Amino acid sequence: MKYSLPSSIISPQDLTIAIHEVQDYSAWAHHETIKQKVGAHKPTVAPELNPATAELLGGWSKVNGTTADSYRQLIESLEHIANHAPTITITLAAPAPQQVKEHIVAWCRHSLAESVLVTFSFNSTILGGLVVRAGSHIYDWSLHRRLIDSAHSFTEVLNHV
Amino acid sequence: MSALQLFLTINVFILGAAIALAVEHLWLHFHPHGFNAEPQDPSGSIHLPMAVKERLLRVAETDYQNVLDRSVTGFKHDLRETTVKINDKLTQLSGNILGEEMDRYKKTLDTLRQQAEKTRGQVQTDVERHQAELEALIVERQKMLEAKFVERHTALEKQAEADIETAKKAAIERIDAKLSQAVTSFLSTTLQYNADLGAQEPYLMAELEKHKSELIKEVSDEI
Repeated sequence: MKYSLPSSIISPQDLTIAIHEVQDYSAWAHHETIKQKVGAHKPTVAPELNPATAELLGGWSKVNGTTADSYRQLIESLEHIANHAPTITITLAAPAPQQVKEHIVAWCRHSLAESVLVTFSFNSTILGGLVVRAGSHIYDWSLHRRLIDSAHSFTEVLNHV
Repeated sequence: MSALQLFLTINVFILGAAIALAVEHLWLHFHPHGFNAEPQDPSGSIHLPMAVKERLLRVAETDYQNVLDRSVTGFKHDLRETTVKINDKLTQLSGNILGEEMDRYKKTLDTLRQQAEKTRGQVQTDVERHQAELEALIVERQKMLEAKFVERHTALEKQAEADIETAKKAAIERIDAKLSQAVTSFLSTTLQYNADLGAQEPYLMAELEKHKSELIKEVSDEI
């Protein structure tokens, strides 16, 4: 079953964490269901979920319900995505805030591929812009590269000053 | 045989006969044959008295002496004449010979002088011609060398200008490169801190949008 990841699940690590948390939550829900069936009165505390996993579960449950089967399907979908989704690495000049990451990932999933995963890193020497590694290619669209490539233009401008 | 030689030959014969007669008489004078006084000499000789013999002998000696004197005188005269003629002939002959040799020598000298004159003239003509050729060749070579020199000088000037221009451009490029590196290094050192990604977000999205096709191709290949 095809599933669109939310923007809050950005990188392969986030997806892996989400899968583990969904598995834990599914197991807890299954145990609680069994307890309810047998009349147990002491409910246990639900496992803590990070906001991305919570958003993911909330979105899935609205559409597919909260049964064990739906959780299993969710886990299968997530595992399928983890095994087959393309991954790109984006290097920025500083650690990106979550909002920036989510905007970028949303654009990637809208423009490039539905389930693309993005790994973010930072390198202050690039000064600005981004360096994208996709597949076997690295695309340097950083400010540092633009400065180096524009060295000739820089001297021309100086000559006209 | 010339007249002189003929005359000399005749004189030699006469002289020989006179000398033979003189020797014979001289021999008979110093070795007379004995007078046979015996009238009945079987060999047929006539015997005369001693006085007659002596008188005959004196007469014979006188005659003989006269003949000798005449012969000697004649011989001396002939010899003198012969000597004079021989001297004359020799003088004439030597003069002729000398004259002929001198003439031949003069002719030879004239011939040699003419040849020398001719050769000298020819040599002088050849020398003048060769000198003119050499001068023309020198002028031509000088012009060629001058033209080559001017051409080489011009080429060297152009080469030097080109080299100077190339060196200048290379120096300017090195300076520009160093300046760019300095500015880039300065900016890298200055701007690498306090980067505001929030402010850069529109730029980041614009860059992604600009290179969307490349990223789509890469992601599609990966899928």
